[in-house]
Amino acid sequence: MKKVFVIAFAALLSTFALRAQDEVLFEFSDGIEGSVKQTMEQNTSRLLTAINQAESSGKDINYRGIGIDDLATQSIGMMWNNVKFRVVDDDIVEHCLRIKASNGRVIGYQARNIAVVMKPIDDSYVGDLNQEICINFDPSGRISDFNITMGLQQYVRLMKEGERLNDADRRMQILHWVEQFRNAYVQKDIRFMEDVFSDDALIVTGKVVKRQHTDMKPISKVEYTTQGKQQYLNGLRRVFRNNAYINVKFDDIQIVRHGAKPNYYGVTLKQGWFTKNYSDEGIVFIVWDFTDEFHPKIMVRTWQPTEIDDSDIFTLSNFKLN
Amino acid sequence: MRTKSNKCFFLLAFALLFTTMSMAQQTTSKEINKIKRSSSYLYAEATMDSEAEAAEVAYELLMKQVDEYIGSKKKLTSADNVLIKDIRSRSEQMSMMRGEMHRVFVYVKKNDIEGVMNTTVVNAASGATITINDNPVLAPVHRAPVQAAPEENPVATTPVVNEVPVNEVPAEEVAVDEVPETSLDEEKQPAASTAVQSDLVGWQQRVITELLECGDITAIRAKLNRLKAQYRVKRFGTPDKCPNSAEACWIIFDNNGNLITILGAGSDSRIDYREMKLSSLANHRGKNALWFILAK
Repeated sequence: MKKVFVIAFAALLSTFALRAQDEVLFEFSDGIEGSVKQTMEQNTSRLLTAINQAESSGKDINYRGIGIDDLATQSIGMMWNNVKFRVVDDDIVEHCLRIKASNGRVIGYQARNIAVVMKPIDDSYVGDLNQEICINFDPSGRISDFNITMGLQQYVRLMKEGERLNDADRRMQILHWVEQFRNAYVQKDIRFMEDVFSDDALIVTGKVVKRQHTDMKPISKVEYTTQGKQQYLNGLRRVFRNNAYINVKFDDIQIVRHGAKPNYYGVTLKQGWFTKNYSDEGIVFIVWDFTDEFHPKIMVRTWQPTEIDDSDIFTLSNFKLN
Repeated sequence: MRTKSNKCFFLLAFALLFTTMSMAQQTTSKEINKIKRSSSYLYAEATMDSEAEAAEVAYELLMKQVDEYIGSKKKLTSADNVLIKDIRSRSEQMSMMRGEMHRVFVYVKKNDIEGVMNTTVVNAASGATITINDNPVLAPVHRAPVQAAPEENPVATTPVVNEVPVNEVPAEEVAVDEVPETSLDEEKQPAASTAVQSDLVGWQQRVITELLECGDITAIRAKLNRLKAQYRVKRFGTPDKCPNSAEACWIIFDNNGNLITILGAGSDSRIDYREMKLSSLANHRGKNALWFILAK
């Protein structure tokens, strides 16, 4: 009898301990005050706790009681289907960043630097185990998006350039969209791709072709193929179907505003593509149209091999934008 | 029997070590959060592969916080380029492991930043000494343009004169030594100073600092390439291809390609950014050099 009591007590204790281990408290130290702050903190604490509970129990994430948009739950869900993850800290205090529209109006908030550790289901996982996430909120404090963040060094550099060029707010928007774009590959989110590519988008892919010259020395030449939106997305669908996990990394991001058309931005970045059986590296150039800043569109996406000369990398001047 | 007890001992020791390490991490984490929650500090953190990388990024972020904080303070608005003396020496750093990554947390007391009004400070990027008066309202910010010193005496013992009207001074300029709060006429009086002031705005000064940290010609070339891609440097090259010597800054190397110094733009007299004194290209005749033009 005594034994049974001890075992039951131990089981009860361990249940409480496990629950306590899952619980995450989130707080903003600065950048926001009042009821919206409380709402965001509450939603974030509940979401991070729900993620830990789902990871511990092996069940799906329970969003009950959390103010979160469908877009964000879909984003988490797609990530969750590929790899489980867990929040590292149980007590998180962070800055609240404001996301502003071009007229200076606050259109949302963001929390960055939330450390997570990936818990791969099998050996097909090819990303880093330690990652950081960022959570976006709408002006009322509801969670509107959830992404794995890019490297902090790049973030710092781009924000500094933004201060210098006086377009830090727009750069923050662009970075957010670039992060979403990268996550769409990782999450195999074809719907996001459908939305973000303009219907008349131009997709250019370069391939290094080595030809044998008469003096037997091989000559490298880059051949380009162009595709329309649907052709590119059909190929992407096949890739998504055939790979359990895709990891995409964006590095060395440069942002340039179009001189004559201020709503157009050229984003150049180094893309690393990793799946279990294939990986490559290339230079990706994207033309973003921010005419509708809440729904920006990709007008051009190019991929070039990294061995290409700097002077041959596509820039805004290579494309005639109407 | 003995083997069994040895095993037990090692297991216990390992468990104790693990617990101690884990507790130490938790304590650091708790301390970090305590500072974050306090409104007395500005803070930043970064988690990277190495501690050095994390510290570098964390300090960059902290500098951004400091800049924003200064900008938000009414009485300090004119001094948005004033950075507290060698931010690394005033700020505190805490490090801990996060998995296999290094987490570095840096913080600085807000009082220390507000204290710049009464202290001698150094531009964190340049190392240039700037003294700020103890007037409760920061004196109009203005920069002393460097007067051409005679070639034979490039060290700036020449008095530095303030000639820039207050309302025409760009916001990013820094306050200078002994500036009275009174009229412009008084400000035109020579100020006693033995060191020259940097003539660059904040980000330009940081570019110079980054270049000075490079050490040799290979690293400098790589850095210049990078800065050009970031549109911070317009052009650079070897002396024979310099379109306008006066407009360019000059990087001087010794025969082994080691960096000696960087000279600012100018004709006869230029600022030596390493020594923060006046110099000229003529003082480095016969040495190797690269030129570059900073973006505006």
